[in-house]
Amino acid sequence: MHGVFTRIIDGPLPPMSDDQQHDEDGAELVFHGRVRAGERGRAIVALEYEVYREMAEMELRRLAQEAVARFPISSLHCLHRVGRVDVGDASLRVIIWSKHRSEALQAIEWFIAALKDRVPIWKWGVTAEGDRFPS
Amino acid sequence: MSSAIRVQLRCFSHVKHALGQDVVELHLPLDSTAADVECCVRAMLPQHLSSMVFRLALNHQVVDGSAAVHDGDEVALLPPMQGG
Repeated sequence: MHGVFTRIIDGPLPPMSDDQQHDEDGAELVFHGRVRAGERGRAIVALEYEVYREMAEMELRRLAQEAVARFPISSLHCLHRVGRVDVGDASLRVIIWSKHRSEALQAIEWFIAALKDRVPIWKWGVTAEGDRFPS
Repeated sequence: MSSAIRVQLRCFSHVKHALGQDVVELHLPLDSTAADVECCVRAMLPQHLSSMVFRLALNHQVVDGSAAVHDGDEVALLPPMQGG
């Protein structure tokens, strides 16, 4: 699928499909953001991602469209999980296709920084004892 | 005509943790702005959040403090976002 594709999803990330529609692109850059075992200096077993869904879906799509307009890339797909994500599991997947690697690398750096700044999603740490705290 | 408006405050992250609720109904004077909402909510928050910078969202759009708030609007104080 060319262009942009964005989703906020409640369950695990689906397996990656073998995309055969990018014959003109020499770069396929895949990024997975994973949950670390520590948050704010505390050991955790999971993060719970909280979302302002009505805003976040719009803003995520807007950002992806902005990235495709700003950088010479052909497609950007982004899936962001919300709800509980255990340590070691991926919460975010971004895939960018472009003719060459440099524009994809620049675009992904910009896109993820913008996502962290503008998409209303927040993290709550979950400890082994079951405590939850806003990060 | 009523001299007050009612707005629905959506609470997230530190705001939700402090207020213990997802949604709070606020009663404000007519001609209130988003900044007035922030002022009202900050008065309900604990001291340790006093330096936190919030963005204001009005009906799902980020606005500045001068935006007029009307009866029935949905407002949110957005703590620093943390997606990824």
